[in-house]
Amino acid sequence: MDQDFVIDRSRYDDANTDTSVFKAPAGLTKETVMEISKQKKEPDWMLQKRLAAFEHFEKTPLPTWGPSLSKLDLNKITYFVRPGAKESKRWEDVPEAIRKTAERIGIPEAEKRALSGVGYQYDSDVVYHNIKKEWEEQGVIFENMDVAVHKYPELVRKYFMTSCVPINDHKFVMLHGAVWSGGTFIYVPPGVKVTIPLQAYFRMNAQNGGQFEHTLIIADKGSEVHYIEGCSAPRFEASALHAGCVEIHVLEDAKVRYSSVENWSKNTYNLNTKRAVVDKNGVIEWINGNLGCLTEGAQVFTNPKGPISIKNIDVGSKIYVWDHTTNRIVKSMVKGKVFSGKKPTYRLEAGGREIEATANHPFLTLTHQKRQPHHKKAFFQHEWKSLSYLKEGDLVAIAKQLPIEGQPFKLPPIEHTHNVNSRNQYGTFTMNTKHLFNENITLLKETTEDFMWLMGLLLGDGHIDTKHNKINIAIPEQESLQETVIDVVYKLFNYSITYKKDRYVIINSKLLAMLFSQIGFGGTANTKRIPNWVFTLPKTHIQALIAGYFDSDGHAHKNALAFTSINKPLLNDLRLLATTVGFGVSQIFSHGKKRKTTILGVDCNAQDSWRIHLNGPLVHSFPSRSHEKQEKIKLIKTKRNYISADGLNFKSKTNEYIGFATITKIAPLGEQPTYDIEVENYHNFISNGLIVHNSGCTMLYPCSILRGEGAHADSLGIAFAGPGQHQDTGSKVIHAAPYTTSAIRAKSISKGGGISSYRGYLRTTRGAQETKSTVVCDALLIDDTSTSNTYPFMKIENNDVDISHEATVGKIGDEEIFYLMSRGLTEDQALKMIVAGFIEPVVKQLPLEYAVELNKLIELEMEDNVG
Amino acid sequence: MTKTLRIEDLHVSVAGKQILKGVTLEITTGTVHALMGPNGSGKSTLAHVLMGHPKYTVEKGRIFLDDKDITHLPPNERAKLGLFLSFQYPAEITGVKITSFLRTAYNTLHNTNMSVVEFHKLLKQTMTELAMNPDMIKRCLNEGFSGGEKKRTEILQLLLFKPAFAILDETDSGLDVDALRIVAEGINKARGKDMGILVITHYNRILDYLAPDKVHIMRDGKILKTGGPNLAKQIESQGYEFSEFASLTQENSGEL
Repeated sequence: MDQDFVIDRSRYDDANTDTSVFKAPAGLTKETVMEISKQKKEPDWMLQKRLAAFEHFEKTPLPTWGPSLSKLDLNKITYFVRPGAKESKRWEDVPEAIRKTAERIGIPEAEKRALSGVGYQYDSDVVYHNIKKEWEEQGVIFENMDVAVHKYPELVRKYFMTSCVPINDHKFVMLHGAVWSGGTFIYVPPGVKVTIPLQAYFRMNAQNGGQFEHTLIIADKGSEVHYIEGCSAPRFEASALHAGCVEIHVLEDAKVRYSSVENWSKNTYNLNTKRAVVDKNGVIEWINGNLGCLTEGAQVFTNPKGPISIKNIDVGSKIYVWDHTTNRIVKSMVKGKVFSGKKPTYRLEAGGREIEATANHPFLTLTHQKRQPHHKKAFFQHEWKSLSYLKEGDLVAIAKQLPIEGQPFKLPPIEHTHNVNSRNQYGTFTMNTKHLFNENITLLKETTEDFMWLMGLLLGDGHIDTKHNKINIAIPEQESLQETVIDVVYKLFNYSITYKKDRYVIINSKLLAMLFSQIGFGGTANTKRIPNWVFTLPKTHIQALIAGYFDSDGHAHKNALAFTSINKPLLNDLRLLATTVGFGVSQIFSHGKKRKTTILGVDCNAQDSWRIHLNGPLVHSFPSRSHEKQEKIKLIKTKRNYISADGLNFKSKTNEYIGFATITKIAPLGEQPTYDIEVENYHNFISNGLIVHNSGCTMLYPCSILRGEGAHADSLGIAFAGPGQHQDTGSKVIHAAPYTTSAIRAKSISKGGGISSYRGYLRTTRGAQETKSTVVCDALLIDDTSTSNTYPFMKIENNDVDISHEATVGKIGDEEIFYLMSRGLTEDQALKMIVAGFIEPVVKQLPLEYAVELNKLIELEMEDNVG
Repeated sequence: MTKTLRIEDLHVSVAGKQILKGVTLEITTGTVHALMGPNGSGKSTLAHVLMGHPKYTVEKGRIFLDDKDITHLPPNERAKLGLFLSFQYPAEITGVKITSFLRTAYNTLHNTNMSVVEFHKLLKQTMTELAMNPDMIKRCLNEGFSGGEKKRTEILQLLLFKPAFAILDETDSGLDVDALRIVAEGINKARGKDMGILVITHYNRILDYLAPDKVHIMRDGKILKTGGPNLAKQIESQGYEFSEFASLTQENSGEL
């Protein structure tokens, strides 16, 4: 039987009065884009480019797309455009932690002012002008991007967002293309070698970089240039999003080096697209120091404890992960957990599941691959994509059911001493309470389907009255279900229900009242929850519980089982539970608002209520025991849909465990504490029923496209993962021409439980014969709790390649520490010296002031009290 | 002012294995002591324990520098009090430039802040004394050094840091004749009335240069015999198994 399905959201529309937090903001409109262009007095072709990008941006299926829009109110955008609209922020307003750090590492006053947004005059205008004069004599252009549009229209028109990063590349690029502002333009004429590194530092008096700055570097034939990105100082931005774009054109025989020391400020992050296209015999070199990264938090399914909040998960817990070779869900172990600090988060909803994650969190998706000449037809392919690259309508992987080898739950013995100490005004005495217990009751050792069905009834419409030692279950008199309950209770506990009243079946037993409360089925309509142990039961038990709940409080909707409650957390429990056994689930949606109403002739204040739908093929084998409801269930239509938004069928990618659902919504949530976990042998886990990757910033990596014969790419990166950080760095190289070469060297340092990962993507295309690539990853672990991982990914499409990959992991040795300490250095100094030595190959590639700064930053990171 | 390094009944184990079984020794500044003994007798262990290597556990006994008990001080504090160990196998520290390391150590040990230029002058001069290639300073600490280069770099530090007590752990091993002479001359330049030296060695050659005041023979974690320079000569000609020594060992093994 096919069990694959995608929830079709439209059918919930009748009930959906969802007052979602997020409405399409009025912020970014065509008018806004036109206004930006007008403010900048841009030529028409640039305006058209912006509008084209905006059109692409808008074309994406639903306008409620989260990250970018939400952060972009009109004022923010115009701020970067309108001259004179200076941000009024003062240095004193910058968060203390950043300020202190900046002061400690001695960031120049000029930079301090720049990052606080206070306008400033560059103190060394003379120096700047002298250098500038030298460049100009050689024909080198080093200009603000906005100015370049006016001054060098031919060059900009030819290279700006054309062949390197086209405007329709991906969502962020589209946005960037529409609203870009500021940045750097560099053109080096043929044969000119710029000896002094060009730095945005020299340009800070022109204009501050913003959220959407664009860097365009063109190294014409045989030229050389070294560009150093911005200032490495913490960029304090009001908005968490930085969607910049860096395009580098390395023409024949030219050489470009691009250095950046970035991202170390822990409360900002970049979603920059950095790419270079390299022509014949050209060389691109990326040098990157990276300090800081992101993660998320949610419910993770563990075995055997059921769903546990990620922040409470223990190292060593067994959890469920997706195994890509078998396309099955398997168990693995949690190797590490890190707290990643407060981060801006977003809610993603798909297939009735929802998850809160940071923008860089990768999800498993299906992407549509166009038909290739060597393929029969177009096809779907698994791909990890970070949240920021997903849009509504995309497919994300969901865990349809977990391979739970559930066990019946051992029920606790109920302590019941009949002698109770009591007291009155005359003193204390012992009271025999034997009469309160029904001695004939037999207790079960462990759960059964009947027992769980009864618990379901309790959840749905039952109440345990521990004060009066009775259990009320609401079932209208006219329903045959009352008899069923009486039968089940008799079978289970050898107890005959004699007391029925109108709509209630009543069990008068202190023992059972105690038992049911003790195992977690107590509480009121507002506070009831599904106990965690239920998640560890055999599937039949879980289904029985859901059936019980349904029989007492659910109803058959035209295409789903519907549950309504004022208790949202309870519905959420139900939803999670239902996903584990294979139901399709809906979002929890608002059903009724707070209002005055009349129930059974009594005036009441109705509370806000919520609803959830379960559907899928399981509905038709649903173990409901209500004859009336069963008849209605038969009428439920379950709908299966394997067709994606692209109109293609993806049935072959699914099975009884793995399905794909369309994303129905992505909305911003604001800052929340975030976590990440590291899993043995796998890099993904199942959270809230969705398959998610460990955190990462894969898409931030510089990408080099070697498209001319003999082109070369060099990438040198360094990452520092301190306590609570997961550093994910890497490099992407595409060998698209013969005789191209690349060398990637990544160095990472992990300390205090920090995790550093190298993720490399290397591809050689069919025609790229005799290409060579070496990847070397060196990791330094400061202590036993830290981790280093290497994930090289290679896609080789021809046989004539020479690729080597080596990874070394070193731990700082006692002998090295002892040696340095025997020369008077403290242990701390010794550690710092060794770390400084380790990163030396990177540092020596940087100009002095950056080297000094990077060293200082690393030293700061090495100190425990900085964080 | 004369200083004294005093080792009292030192018992040391590593990973549960007893290495030193009661070593007592006293060295004053201005004297040179040689420590000899067969392989595995505990000489290098003594050197490391004196410097405070965390791998070794002092089970019993104490180490004093003058009246200060330094038995449990971390290595860097011992260094600041004037202890120096010339390593038999110095650690290679990748990426750390010799100059910056030496200047940091120099400034820390002497509690000063010598400028780069000034230090460079001092370093160059000292290196000339040791006939070291000036290009060495561009290299990283011990990284890719030959055995001789490493030893010379150790003695360079001895000359720069001028400690009160220097423990030279097989500084002579692995050196050719010329290198040995230069290193020994270096040590002689460093020594004086303000420095006490403990030379750990297998050979007399270095002792010919250094002319020790006392020679100690160590075996099985204990100092079995102490004598004048002649004792070293006796060992060289007769080996550690010469009759007098062998009988001593026997007597002692009876005690054990």
